Amino acid sequence: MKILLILIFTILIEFFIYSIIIRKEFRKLFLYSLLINSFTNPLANLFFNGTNWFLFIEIAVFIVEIFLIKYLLKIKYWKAILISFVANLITSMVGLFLFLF
Amino acid sequence: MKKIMFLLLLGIMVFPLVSADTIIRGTHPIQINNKITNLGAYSEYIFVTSINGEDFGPGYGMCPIRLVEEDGTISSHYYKFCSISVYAIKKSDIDLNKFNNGAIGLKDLALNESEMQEYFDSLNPIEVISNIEHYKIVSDASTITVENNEYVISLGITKEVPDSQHIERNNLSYFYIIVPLIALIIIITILIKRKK
Repeated sequence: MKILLILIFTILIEFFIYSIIIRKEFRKLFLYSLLINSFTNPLANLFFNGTNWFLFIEIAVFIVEIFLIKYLLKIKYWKAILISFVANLITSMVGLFLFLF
Repeated sequence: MKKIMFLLLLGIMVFPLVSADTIIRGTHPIQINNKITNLGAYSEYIFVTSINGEDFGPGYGMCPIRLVEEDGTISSHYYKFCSISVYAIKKSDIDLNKFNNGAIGLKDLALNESEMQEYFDSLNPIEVISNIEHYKIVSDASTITVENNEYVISLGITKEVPDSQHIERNNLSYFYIIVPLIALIIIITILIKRKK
């Protein structure tokens, strides 16, 4: 079940990135990573399904996560943008690796 | 701060290129069931699937002529690159004894491709469904497992799309909808509780 595997990896990797940047309340960070990715990841995969809107969906996930991170983690916008960008960049590359191999 | 903004700007330009690649994911074929529902209305005809005259694809060698089953089921056991259409042929124009397990290929008649085409044309086939879908691949993320297409045919009209289509999906559909819904409800609850 590749989809579940991708979701679990995404949650763990994004938790790791949140932890590096925020450096406090790790249990809450894990919960937020779990919630944010459980919301965006399955929906992104559902919409990727058979569509050519790849780029649009990737950017949509990046933008949605900015707001979720900002309000859940109670941080400034620039930090939320940074976290969302780094997290999605890394998880995208891991996703690519998992799908190819 | 300026450095971060610069890196972000650079990243935003690079990100779509990287993320676009992540969508190159695994694919798999799904089962396609094609059926003619009103075959009984044409008892003086038999129906066959054959490569169509416009696009031979791999030819009769790999895409033999197959009989449509009596219940209207159209065979999907074709090589993926075969472009298949459904034809009505008058029973009086064809010798059913030539069919071997419901199919007739080059070897059965000891013909080459062009002779086979001539043979097929001599049967006066009437195209009733054009380019029927018999092979389809979907993303591994797809929830579609089976595609059931039904056709109501009429001689003199060439159908290009099914009259009805029923798609069967796997349990992943629940995963794609219920998991995000639960996550969203919890996120909203957290944010509302915080405001209070």
